[in-house]
Amino acid sequence: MLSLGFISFATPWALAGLAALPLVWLLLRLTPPTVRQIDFPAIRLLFGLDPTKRTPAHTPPWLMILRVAILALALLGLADPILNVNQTQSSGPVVIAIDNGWAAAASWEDRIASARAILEGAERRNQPAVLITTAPISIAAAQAPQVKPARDALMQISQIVPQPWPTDRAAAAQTLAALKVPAGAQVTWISDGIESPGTAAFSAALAKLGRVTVIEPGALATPLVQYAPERTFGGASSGTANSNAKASNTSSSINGIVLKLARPSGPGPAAIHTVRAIDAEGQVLARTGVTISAGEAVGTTTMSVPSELANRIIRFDVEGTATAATTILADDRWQRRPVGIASATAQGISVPLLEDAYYLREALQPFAEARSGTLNDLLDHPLAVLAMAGGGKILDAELARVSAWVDNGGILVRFAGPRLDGNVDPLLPVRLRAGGRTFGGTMSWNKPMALAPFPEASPFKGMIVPEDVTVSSQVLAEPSAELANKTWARLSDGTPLVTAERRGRGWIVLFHVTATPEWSTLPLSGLFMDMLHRLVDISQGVPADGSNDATGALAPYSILDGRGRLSSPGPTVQPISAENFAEAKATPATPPGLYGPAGGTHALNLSAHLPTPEALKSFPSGAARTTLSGISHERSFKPWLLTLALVLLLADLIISFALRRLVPQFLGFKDVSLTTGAALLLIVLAGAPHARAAEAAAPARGSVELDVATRSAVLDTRLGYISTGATDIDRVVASGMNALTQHLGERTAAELAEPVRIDLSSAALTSESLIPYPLLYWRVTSAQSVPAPKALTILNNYLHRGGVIVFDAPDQPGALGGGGSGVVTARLQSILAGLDIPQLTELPDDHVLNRSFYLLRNQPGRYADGKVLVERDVTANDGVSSVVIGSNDWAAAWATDATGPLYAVIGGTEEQRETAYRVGINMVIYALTGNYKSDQVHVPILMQRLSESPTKLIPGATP
Amino acid sequence: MDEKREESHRLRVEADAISATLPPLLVSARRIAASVTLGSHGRRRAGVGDSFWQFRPYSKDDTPQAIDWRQSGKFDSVFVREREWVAAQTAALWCDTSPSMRYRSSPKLPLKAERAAVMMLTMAELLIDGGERIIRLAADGKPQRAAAAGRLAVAHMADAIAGELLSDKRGASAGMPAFSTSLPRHSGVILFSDFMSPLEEIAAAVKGLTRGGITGHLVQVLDPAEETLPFSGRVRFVGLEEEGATVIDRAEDAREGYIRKLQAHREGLKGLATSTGWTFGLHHTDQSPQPALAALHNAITGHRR
Repeated sequence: MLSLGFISFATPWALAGLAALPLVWLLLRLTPPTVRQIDFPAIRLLFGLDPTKRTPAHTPPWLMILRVAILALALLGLADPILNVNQTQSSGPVVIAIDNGWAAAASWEDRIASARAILEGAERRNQPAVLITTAPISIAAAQAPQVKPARDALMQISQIVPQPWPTDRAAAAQTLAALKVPAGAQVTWISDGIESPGTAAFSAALAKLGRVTVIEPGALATPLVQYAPERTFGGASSGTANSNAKASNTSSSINGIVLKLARPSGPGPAAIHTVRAIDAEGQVLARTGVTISAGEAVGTTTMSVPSELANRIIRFDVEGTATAATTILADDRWQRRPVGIASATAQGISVPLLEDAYYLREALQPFAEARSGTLNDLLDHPLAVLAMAGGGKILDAELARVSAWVDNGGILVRFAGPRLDGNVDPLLPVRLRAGGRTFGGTMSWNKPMALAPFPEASPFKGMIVPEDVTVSSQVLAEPSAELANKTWARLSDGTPLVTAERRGRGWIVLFHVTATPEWSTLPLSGLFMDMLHRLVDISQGVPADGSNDATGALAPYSILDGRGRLSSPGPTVQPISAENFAEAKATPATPPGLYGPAGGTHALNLSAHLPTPEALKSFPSGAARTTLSGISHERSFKPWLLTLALVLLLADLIISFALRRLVPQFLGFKDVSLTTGAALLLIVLAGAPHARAAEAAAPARGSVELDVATRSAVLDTRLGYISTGATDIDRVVASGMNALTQHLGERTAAELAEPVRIDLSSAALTSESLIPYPLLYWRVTSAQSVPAPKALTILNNYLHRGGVIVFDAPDQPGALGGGGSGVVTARLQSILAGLDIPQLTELPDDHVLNRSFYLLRNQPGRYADGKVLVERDVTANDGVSSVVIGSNDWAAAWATDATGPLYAVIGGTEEQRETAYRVGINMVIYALTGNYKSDQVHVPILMQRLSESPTKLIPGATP
Repeated sequence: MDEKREESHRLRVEADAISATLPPLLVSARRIAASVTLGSHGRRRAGVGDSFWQFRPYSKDDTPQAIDWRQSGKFDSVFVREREWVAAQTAALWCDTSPSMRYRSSPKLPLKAERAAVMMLTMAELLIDGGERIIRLAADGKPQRAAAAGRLAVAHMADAIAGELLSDKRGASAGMPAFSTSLPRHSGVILFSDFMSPLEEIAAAVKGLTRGGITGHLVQVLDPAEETLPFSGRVRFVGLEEEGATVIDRAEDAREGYIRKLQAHREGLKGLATSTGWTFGLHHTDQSPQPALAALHNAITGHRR
């Protein structure tokens, strides 16, 4: 092997051929160009013709250069040049140790590529090789590593996969010690960058073999761990993905899921990882970025998910990093919320409309699994919520049991009643005053009381209080300093209606009225159902019947592999006994996954028993360290050089043909230079396909002073959307607008080009740049800044000249961009203040917007409850309202990615999404066609006239 | 033989298309003194024929059977009824199918021999339409069959020429053949060739025919490349009739001399034609054959007087 700097030649003797190049040059020079032979009938006339001048017949110099280059390339290729050749040559064996535990999965392909490159080098040099993996493998496949030819090791390497459990370096160290390796080995350790028990022994064992190079994952492939998310409410965690969850974390979100990601400690740059919540159909229900700040090891964020969606989650994973450690499975305990209704009346005697439990059962049935029975019977089975209708005292015999259940995370919901007189037992959230309070009775001056809006800290926050809910009788709490904190709902005069207290991990909630309409109209209203629904949502899930107290083994149900994919369990996977499930760790015999019968599965998550990852620190002595991305692999140029020589040879062939006029006439090559040009062009195109694309992408310069965006908007009709100021929401809006444009093209004649993002803060923005857009969509978020005066002028110009702006300011709790706080609405108002907008009115049913393409009754987006406002008296602009203001988050309903819709619609089915698309299509058609469809408004009258006319025309006809 | 039939059919269709555009031909009888056979069109003089020509007074040479008694009865003298003398001219046609004629400079052009054959068949059609008899001279210059009239004669001719075109006898019949002298006297001859043989050879052939009292027409069929020598660079030219080869380093430089020599050759041909009372026509394969045929038509019918 011959080395020249960083290039080495494997077969250098081939270079000797280069010495012959001058000779070839000379030969080519002397050879006259090939004679073309032409048959010619009039040859007699040519005999004796002596051309006046004879030019020396030489091959053109450029052709000679081409031919010599072909020869030189072929010779260089045969010499087999190799870049970055491993200079530390030794005849000893190559030892490759690969960490294939969970932490290696993130950059597995790079690791395998590195190992492969090293083994290919070893094969080239005929070195033997050993492959050692550090993760324990399933029992059956165990086989001691041995020294073998590099070719065999290369075949073996494609069979190694990352395992969903930690490495066992202590065991690997023993394997190494038992290994018979000749001295002077060349050792490479492709590590996962995580310190684990036994690492020191392993490092020492490696160092004993020879010179060690450690390849670390580097910044891009840092292993991540996701811990089980916790559901939170009102300042404390109320539920966890599984029983192995870590300690709770505080959060102020109404209904949130606390996500926690960890990476090895050490100075790392700030990173954002997107965590996705996925339901059983594979639809992404929510995604949230978790930021790990620079230098920190742990990042925590709360994912705000509407509770009805949260219950559908079966899995959390980190986008772009599919490993067992970043995947959290939510088992059935996450979703199941059985409710017990304890009733004082004896079983079997059911008096509809009068029985206490009747209203509870009716309210709970639509969304929860409700059971009735006595307290003792109910507590025999796992329960999430226990509702006690009809007041009454909890008997002392049952007190301890109920109390323990609440401490364990149950929610006890009690109702007042004639029998709950004073502090009958300790399981009450507040001290009650003896005797009730009655309003609006025959002997009272007071009228029945309405409800006040729910307090901030209440789980009922955001629910709309119907005006017709009145309370005529209630029990009263004794005033105390904590009473305000414990109050979840109050009457309009401030007296508590619902109070709650935390007990252990559970709650005790007291409704100060009965569960029957005797004391209030609350049980008759929809609000009652919503409140119970919310209570069930914040409760903690329980496993299915029987499995909780099962003593048997939980058989593996579905197993997670190293890449975070679920698969059916293999024969080596063993069941876990139910009692020890909480202590079960991820091992080859019990890999992470779901265990137990269908409907009662328990999730065994890898991260539950993982220690906080720690960066690798026990390096073998004298080891060279490098990273996956920093490693320079040996690279052979042989195929490239030979291919180039072959391509040039083909070009030479074409050129030779052209010189001899052998190229068919139909190709249109009339002379040699053209043909040569074509051949060279062919080579250039084959060699650099990207150059052409780059050329095409280069902006063409026109004489008109329009920027590229405006010009493209003029050339093709397209929608515009205003940048929200938040990149992630912009992405959602862009995706939504793209989806809308696509649906428009599919369903209507409006085939629009790709929508354009318009940045109001851009300096290049002029009045002209907005004019081409028929409609601008403006998703208002709390992060939205009020546009500068210049931008406002431009927007006003746009509106005056016939533009339409659709404002979308969803302020629903949990909406993207800071909904639920009123900030969005305030932001919308401050934006509108700067715009010249006439009087608005709520969208009338017969408005053209509801008729322009589809006939619509409502205008839902992701939400369905927002109002839509339009201009009241439109005279200008062909009767088109210049603004449409809504709050249904249309873009989120429209947005899709390759896998389907990005966001689930709230409170509805997929039908709602379809309607959302129809709303969008109506808006665009409305903006494009104006009052064209306003005739539709008159259709009923026209139809009526049509049906009237026959009776007028034919006298005496029966109507 | 299917191939031959197809080729023959193709040539005839082509010839029909061309002949349809030319007026039917009546060969001028002016230069023909006598006839050996009966023909179908009158000679504007008394002779053997069917149609009435004139009455003339009886002379002592006339046979009594010739007297037209009805006419004689009207007058005192005796009249003889003369009929118009009807005779057909025989035209011999020859088309060069030697290898030098199997040439084209571009696939878009027809072979010279093909074009020559088409022109010959066109002439044959026109002559037959005009009531003449035709004889095809084979490649060796001998009449292939007796003079014939009618469509069938053209069909036979087409078959024969197609067979000659398809037979690949490269170099077999190079140069001008020795034309048969046994042609009917006063018949006409039309020769289609590139006339690239040495001038002496051509002169000998033409003079041989002239001695038999035959006049004729030379039609030179050339490929445009033969006219302009549009080649450049180092070229080895190879003759098609085993004349040999020559290498020219810069063909573009030889062009001027070539064209000069071609002109001289053609002047020689023209001189030969005028000195023997023949006519000379030129046709290029990239042009339509109609102009050349029209000129030939005029020459034969004597309209160019």
